Amino acid sequence: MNTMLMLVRLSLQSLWSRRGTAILIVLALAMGVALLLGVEKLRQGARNGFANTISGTDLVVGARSGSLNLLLYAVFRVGNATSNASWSAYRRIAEHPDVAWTIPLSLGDNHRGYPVVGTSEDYFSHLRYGRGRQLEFATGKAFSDVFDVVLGAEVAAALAYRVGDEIVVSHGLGEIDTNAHDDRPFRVSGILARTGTPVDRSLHVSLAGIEAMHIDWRQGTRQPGIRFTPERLRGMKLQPRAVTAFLVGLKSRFAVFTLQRDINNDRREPLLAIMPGVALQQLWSLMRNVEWALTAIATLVALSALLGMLAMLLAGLGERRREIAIFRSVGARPWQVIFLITSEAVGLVIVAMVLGLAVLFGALVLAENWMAETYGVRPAASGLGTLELLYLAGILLVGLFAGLLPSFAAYRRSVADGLTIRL
Amino acid sequence: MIELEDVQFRWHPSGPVVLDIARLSVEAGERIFLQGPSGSGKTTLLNLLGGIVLPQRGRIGILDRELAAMSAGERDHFRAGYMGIIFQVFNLVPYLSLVDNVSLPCLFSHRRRERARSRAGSVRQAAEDLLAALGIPPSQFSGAMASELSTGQQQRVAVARALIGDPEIIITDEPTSALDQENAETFLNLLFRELAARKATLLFVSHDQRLASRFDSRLTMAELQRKPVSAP
Repeated sequence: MNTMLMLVRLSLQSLWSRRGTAILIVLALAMGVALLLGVEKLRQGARNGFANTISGTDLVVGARSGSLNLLLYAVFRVGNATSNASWSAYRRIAEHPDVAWTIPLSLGDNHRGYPVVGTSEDYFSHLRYGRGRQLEFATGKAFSDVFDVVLGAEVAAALAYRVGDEIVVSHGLGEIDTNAHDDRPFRVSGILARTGTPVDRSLHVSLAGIEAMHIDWRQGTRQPGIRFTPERLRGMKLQPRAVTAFLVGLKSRFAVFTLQRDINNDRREPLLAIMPGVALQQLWSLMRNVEWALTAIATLVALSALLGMLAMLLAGLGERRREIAIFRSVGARPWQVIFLITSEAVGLVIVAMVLGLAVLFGALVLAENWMAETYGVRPAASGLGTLELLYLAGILLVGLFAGLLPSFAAYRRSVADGLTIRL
Repeated sequence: MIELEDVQFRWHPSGPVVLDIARLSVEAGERIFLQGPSGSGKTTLLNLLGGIVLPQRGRIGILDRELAAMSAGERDHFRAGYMGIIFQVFNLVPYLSLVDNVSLPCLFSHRRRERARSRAGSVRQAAEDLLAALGIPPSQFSGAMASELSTGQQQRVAVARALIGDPEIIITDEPTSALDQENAETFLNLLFRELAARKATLLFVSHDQRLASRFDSRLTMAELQRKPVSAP
């Protein structure tokens, strides 16, 4: 029998004799491993989900404000635009020779807390998310009438709407409908498939629909006098005078910097054009502290489990002192004594890692779809990245150290004890 | 078999000389009773003979091999191959079965393993034969852990471990001090019987005077030491 194998077998027998404690240590370590890697997976998933919110769009354009503000309201539909971009400016850019398509966005209304987006049919054909994925209809079709509305998946699911239902849209972003446009209900024409992006939380109507909602409103309150019936509105030319923001897709991406500069320097109207990827990076960097805190907590959990193991090994050392004297008497070399104790620690850590990974991937596989649908975060259940491998290597290294520490202590004692067993 | 000449040892270079032996010679097959109170250097002598430590002066030859000429690893290997050691108490690894405890030297020494095999066919068989010869019930061979045995039984298992693979030298460190008179007698009878069958040399360190008369020769640490031990 190979010497190493025999030593491993001895250390396994030793561990087995303390299996109660060993199992607890393995469980604690496995939790630490699963937590550390789980936080990392979630972080990456959140980051990817975040970056996947919008793709294929070269520029986001709105009234001049901050780039994060523009990104937040135009892409994430959070917060308010301070002012709008004029219709003429929008048309001017839409007709620019380098521009392939534009998606106008008219924001500011809501339905039971979900944002209402006025837009054009281009929204459904050109908006991309993830790795260039297109929007798809789960049921129904895009709006064709002024009073048609297309629902995001989450809106439809949360409010139990189906194609053909009539809903009322209110002005403003608040949840409370104090001034609902209740006399002109919208009919659900289609429901989009789930994307895991803010689209799921949005209701989409045509720009004409937004105009129709507001035609008898001025300064945020209803004007007395003329009543506009839906029939009458359908016959009117509902030309918007402004949009809140718009997304721009270029024929060639090389034009992006030129066009961005042209828009930002346009003296006719103070506009802001941002590249969504760059702005997303900026926004994500705001989350760094949260990321750091999560990683720190997970690291501490893993470390405390390793400390528990160290405590177990050190506590067992007094008893093992006799055992080590016996091993020395039958010819065990010092390195074999050190190996015997260190291999226990490393063995515990390896078993805990395997268990932790099994728990983690099991949980990921089970929770992946739920998380993607609920939070729009899809933790990658596949494979281990470089960082995860580094974490594992780090845990193994600390485990090795936690094993070497008591074994050197044991070895030093065994030198002092020699061929005697101290009581 | 064992030759000590002009051996001087101190634990620390500046510490007191704890052992100073002009000469000690043990013939093959001899059974020596080495007596001395605690603190007389018995333990140090054991460590020197086992090759755990080397003397600062003098030479120790065992089986015509110079311990000082070997590396620490070679001394460990030599000890495993040629010596069986029995402690005062706690001779057994608590998580190993009796057979595994007895077989331990064969894990660390190729020589002992081969000798055990040539005697009994396998290491396991050799261990079981020894345990049976020392009066351990076969039902306890595989299952029993040290904690389930009486002290007398534990010491007999320790004898089996010292004897497996037929080492030339058996060294014991007060193996009977935890036993009553009757158990001590039984222990010694069994030990002598197995030693005789193997023609092994025995160095029996003890202060248990009751047993001294049964040995070939009797030494005291005081006789061995060149001058009185200076108290630390």
